[in-house]
Amino acid sequence: MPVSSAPPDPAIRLRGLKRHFPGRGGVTTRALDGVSLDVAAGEIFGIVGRSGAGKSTLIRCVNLLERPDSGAVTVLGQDLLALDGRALRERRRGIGMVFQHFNLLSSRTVAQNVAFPLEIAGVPAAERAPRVAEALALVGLAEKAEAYPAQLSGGQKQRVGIARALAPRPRILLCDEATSALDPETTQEILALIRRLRDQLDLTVLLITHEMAVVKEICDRVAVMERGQVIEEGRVFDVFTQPRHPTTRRFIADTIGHSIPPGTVARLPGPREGEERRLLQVLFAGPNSTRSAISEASRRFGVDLNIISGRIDEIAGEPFGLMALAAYGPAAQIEATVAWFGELGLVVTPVEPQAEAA
Amino acid sequence: MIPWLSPMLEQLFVEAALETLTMVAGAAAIAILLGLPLALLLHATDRGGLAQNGLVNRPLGLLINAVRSTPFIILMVAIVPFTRLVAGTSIGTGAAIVPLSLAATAFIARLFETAFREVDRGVVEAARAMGATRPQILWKVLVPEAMPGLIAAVTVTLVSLVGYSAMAGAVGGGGLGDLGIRFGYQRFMPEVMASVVAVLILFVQGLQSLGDWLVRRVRRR
Repeated sequence: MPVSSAPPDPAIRLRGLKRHFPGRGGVTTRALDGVSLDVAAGEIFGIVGRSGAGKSTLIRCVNLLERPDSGAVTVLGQDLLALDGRALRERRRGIGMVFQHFNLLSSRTVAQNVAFPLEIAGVPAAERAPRVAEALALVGLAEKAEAYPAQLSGGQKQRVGIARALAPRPRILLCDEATSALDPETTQEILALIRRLRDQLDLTVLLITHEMAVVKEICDRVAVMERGQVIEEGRVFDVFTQPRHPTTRRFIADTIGHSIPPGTVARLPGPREGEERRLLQVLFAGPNSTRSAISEASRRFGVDLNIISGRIDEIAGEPFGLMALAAYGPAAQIEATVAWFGELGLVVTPVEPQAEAA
Repeated sequence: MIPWLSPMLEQLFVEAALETLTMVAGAAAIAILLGLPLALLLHATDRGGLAQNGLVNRPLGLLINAVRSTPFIILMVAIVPFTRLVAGTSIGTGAAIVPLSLAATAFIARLFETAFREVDRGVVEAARAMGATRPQILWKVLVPEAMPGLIAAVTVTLVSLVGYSAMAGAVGGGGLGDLGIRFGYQRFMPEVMASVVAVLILFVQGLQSLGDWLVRRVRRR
């Protein structure tokens, strides 16, 4: 980390990336349609999207496995597109990459696989051995050094993949769906490992995934991609708790359940004579997230608040609660309640049950 | 050694067996040396390859196919001037190695190329991401990863060469096949024919078993 007070340059800066693939019958696929992103040094940045959204092409642009048609790729202050073949290969050695299907050399032992990038970089054999041992120790696989990849489980293979990526001591780690071929338990282990390595080695991690759960687990910031474009970007907590784009909402619905179960609203009693019933979604986050705001509001404003769905969870280490409330009372009192929630820093959004059910 | 053959025939038999061995081993060695770079070139210049280049790939592919589709007996006489240029003569065991090598090179180049195609593209991509040069990818990734397939290809080529070498009699190359035709067939000596066939069967079985054993040894999957 630089000691200057100015904001440090991003570790990865992508500007206006475009990449089109000619398809059959003259139809071009716009894998990247003007993507700009900054990944700060030391953060874990997630790119999430469905298959075909362009995220795979995007991560391959960071080490130029894929060359963008236009745009700029700056990694650790270096414009990669300006480099010749040899200089680019040098730079790639400072960018580790981990793959969905591990991509280990089946003809080599674990230790030989981890030594491979060092061998390529021309590190003398005598210096390789201690660095291989060091990398294997980092991922907790020292005892498997002499095994062949075929003898390992999926999680162990990915640990080897990570050790191999880290052996040349890169500053940046790219993870291409690194946990998508693993079972849920192993996924948790690998994610915890990536997070620990980031902390320990001060790495910058860019990962792509189609699973929001992965983002929720380890990312600091996230970008959501659709049809070659970034449609939403921000701190993971903000994106999860206040998604703006419908696609993002659908993505996180499975993970943290933003929707009200259908049928719930139909069973609710109607408002009393001269009063109103309003459905509100309240997000408890920030300094007042632990205040007993619902019972307090009920006493202060004389409204009845019926909790119809709710979830309390933690994202990126920050607690939050998400409640759907049916508020009963005179219109003015409901307005006052909403305003007071706002003053507390809670985020209130009216719920359209029909739209949610659709 | 072979009790039903006269000492003189036995002598001829041993010589013929050595000639077959010489032709097969010589042609196989040359085919491997020439076929491997050719196959790497084919693989690299193929669509989506490391150095995609249709202007190299297509003519090379056509040439290899042309050699492979020419019947060996015709190929052997068709390239007599070339054989004379290379070997100094167009007859004899040494001269027969020239057309055998040519046929086997085209054959093995295709088989090697197929073996390279079986290598997981992801492994090549990983090597590129690590900053590997193209020669490093060829020699440190493609060749070792394709090794089981390459060994199987050498085995198939050796077995085919045993068959081709029987035709080398047409240019005075000698060998077991030639012995079988001249004595077994033309002189009505079925015991010679049977011995030739039996030895060739044992030889091919031995090659195949050795090849399979080696493939099992290098395959780590």
